[in-house]
Amino acid sequence: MSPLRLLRWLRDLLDRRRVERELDAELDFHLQTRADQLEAEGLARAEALRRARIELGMLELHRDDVRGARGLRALEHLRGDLLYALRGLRRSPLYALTATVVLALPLAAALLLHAIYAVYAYQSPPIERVERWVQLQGHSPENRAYSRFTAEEADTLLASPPPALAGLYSQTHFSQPLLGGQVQRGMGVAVSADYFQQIGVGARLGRVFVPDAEDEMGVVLSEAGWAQLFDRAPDVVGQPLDIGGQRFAVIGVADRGYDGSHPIAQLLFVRQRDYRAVFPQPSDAAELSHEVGGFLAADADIGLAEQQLQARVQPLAARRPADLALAGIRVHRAEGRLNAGDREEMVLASTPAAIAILLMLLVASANLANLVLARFSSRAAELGVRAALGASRARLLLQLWLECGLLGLAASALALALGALLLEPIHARVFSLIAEMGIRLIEVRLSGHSVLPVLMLALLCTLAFGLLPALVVTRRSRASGNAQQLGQAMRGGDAPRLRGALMVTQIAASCFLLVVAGLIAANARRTLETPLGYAPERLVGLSAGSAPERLVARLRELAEVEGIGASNLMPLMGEPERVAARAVLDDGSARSLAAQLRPADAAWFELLGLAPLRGRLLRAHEDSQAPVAVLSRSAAERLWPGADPLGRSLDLVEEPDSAQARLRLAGDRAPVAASGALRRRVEIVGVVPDIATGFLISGADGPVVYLPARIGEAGLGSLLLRLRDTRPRTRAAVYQACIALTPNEDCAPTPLTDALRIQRLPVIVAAEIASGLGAVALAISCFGLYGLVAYGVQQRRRELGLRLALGASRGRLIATVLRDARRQIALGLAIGLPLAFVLTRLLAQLTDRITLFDPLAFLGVPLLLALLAALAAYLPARASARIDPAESLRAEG
Amino acid sequence: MAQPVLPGTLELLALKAVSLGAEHGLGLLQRIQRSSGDVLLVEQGALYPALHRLEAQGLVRCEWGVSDNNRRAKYYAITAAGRRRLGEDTRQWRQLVEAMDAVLGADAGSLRA
Repeated sequence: MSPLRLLRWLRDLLDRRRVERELDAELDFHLQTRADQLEAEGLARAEALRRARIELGMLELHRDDVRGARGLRALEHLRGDLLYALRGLRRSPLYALTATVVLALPLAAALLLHAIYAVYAYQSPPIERVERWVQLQGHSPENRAYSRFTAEEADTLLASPPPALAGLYSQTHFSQPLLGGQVQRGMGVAVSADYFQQIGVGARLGRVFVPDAEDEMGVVLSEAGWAQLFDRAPDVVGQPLDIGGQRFAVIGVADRGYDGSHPIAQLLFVRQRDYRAVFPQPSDAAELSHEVGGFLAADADIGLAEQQLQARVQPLAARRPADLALAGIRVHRAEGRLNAGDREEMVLASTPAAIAILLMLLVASANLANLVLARFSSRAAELGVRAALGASRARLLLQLWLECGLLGLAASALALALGALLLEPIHARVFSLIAEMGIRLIEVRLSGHSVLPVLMLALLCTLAFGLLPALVVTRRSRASGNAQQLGQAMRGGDAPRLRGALMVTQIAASCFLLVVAGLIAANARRTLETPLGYAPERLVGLSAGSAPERLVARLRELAEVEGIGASNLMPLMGEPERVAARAVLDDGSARSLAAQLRPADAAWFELLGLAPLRGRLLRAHEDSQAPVAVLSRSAAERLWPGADPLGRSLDLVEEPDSAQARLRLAGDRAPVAASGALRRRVEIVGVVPDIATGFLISGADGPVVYLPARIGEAGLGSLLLRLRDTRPRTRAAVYQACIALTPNEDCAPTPLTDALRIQRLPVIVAAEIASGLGAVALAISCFGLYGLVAYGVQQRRRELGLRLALGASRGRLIATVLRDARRQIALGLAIGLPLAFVLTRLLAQLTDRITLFDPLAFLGVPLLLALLAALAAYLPARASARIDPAESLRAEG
Repeated sequence: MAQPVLPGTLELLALKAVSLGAEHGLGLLQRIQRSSGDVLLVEQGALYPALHRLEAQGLVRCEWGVSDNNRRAKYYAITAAGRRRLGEDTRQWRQLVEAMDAVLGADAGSLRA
């Protein structure tokens, strides 16, 4: 169709009334003028008009032909079908509402998931020339990607960018404490001199960095930083800001709400020159820390830029160490806030939720297909008549599908509304862990990127739940063309089988979702309920840094600090390495187990309030050379069950690397050979209670061997403090003390209560999401079963009435009605449970540390599902027993 | 004796009639009948779908005007594209007629030669 013709067609389409009006006027002119002619020939006016009408023929037929000639007839039919479908839905508001809500819930979940991804993957920060924005990425000869460059490489690239790039900038992200009345985490970027000119962002207040200005130690705030650190004070320019203990001065606030190009909002920008001067990194030369980005020149493309960059790789590659070999530099179009690696990670992280949502969609689609099938079946007679009148199968299919299409449209609209409403709170909840760590999240909004995928998904679902039943229903209508036969086909043929299969699918998918949700909840419960064995309230962990003795001496001077202990790792912030511990028993045989190795000083036990169950604790004078050890209770019980471990000797064995990996993965459940080289032999001097200091998702620490050590010895990298109180000022005082002592090291004091929250939050959120999805699936399935059984009762009303009349007991009648539902529930569980079991085994290959079998998840949840489903089926079945035999027999069957 | 138009030829006839000067539907109808010496009988209502099809294809354009009997009428006029199409279709029609004539006028002698 030529553009002009298309234009004319569109004009007709949009202004149908004009077309109709003009056609009427044209035909009327024909009639009147022909009548004029006949009148002139001597006929009376009335007779002349009558004759003219006869000559012109059937007006309505001509009108329809003209519509066809103008390409408007197909639309006319569509409009008619649409109106018909709308009227149909209006007549059954309950059905329309249910179907819409059932589909809208999983669609909204899918929309939210996609929208959160789209916020990071597609919503670019407000920079100019965003369509020419690129990022540089190095790669090794084996094609391993490096998203960053060394400082020297970045400087070399920036000094002479290839002509195909209009300019290059480099940036390094950092996190430095901001110290005022309290400690805040200062997420910031150290940027190259002309960064703001490159990205085209100006200043809202004061000014941004310009290449030649002499503003040493200046800081530009993002709007988020301005709000968070200075409460949007209008006189912020010139005010001092301590970043990592170094005094900077605010020179301006960035415009347009620019908060960097990373997934989290940056509070501040400093110049790379200043940052390198005040925070010199000893390993700077070899560290890949600088991201390099830029903008394509107006007439250049990526291929040209890569080609020109190739010439610059050689001198850079020569200075790289062998393990970071550089073979080339690629140029990627930049979009959103994620680099290629982040993007992959985010996709991977959202896969489980995506699978769960797809399953929910399957449940919803199967449910709707059932509803639709029941509804279509009740229209069998009407469809038969239409088929007999010559409607093609495609036409019937379209008519039936249109109704589902309308439902899909309504569900999409509802899902979009729900998505717009819930995106912000759900995003905040999902990333609450990040917010909890004092990091600011970027602003989120629903964008067009997510609308299309959701509409496509809705279309797919309506095709699945609308077309399948429509195909089944119309299959025989063509063959028979007979309303009565069609009705029989509906009741006795494929439709009930399809309905049963759809119900089984729903129950199986729901069962699967619920069991997985139950398992996640079980793991969350373990994380929440594992007793710590100590009071974390006033305890703070911090890194001992490079001068632990001086740091401890300084901290002891603080009135806020009540006690200081040391260990190899901060409690609740990681897990110590495991070794094979081998005990030689009385009978000469050996027993081995995988145990955590935790060197700690005497004060550490005291701070955690650990009292010996047997023997004594480690003593202050014992250092790492002392051949003694204290065992956790579970280590003692497993090594010497029922015997006294005091005074016995224990061999700590060096396992080969492969065994180390296994130990990391499987924890103390890993089988150990204990055949490696002997590391050291210790004598057991005490037993202390089990505590939980590692990953709470795998429960308490289990077997631990505590070895003596003293502050200043290697291996005691972490200090534990007990503070006088928990006020932010107290913590800030500790931070200030350690920054004053070692300005280039971030000792990062972390209250154990924060660490506890950080561990618990992700599993709580995961359990919330999983239970939410599972509950919706359960509700949809039960509702579907209710509808199915109720429909069955309605269909069999006459038969059931007859049975009652012939003397069947009501109990027996209910059992008959429930027979199918029982079979469907059993079959659904029989499919769903093994599926869940297999999937969790697959997960087990990733890590052994989570609970894989939980009686509540594998037995309780299916039982609940079966009970609720049975109830959903029983309610309509019970109604069958209330059928009045006489009435049902009198009614038409 | 009056003959109905051959199937598929009504649009060509209508296009030709329009090419003789802007005219309304009834005028075009009578133009066809008169120029065929009242041999061709066009079904009146069938002309309008043909005219609208030509209009949708951009072969004729139309505008509203006032007729001789002082009524508002829709006048059809040929476009440049319509004229080109008329030329092509007329040539094809003549070829068809010549071929038909040749076949119908053939005798046993001419076939052998």
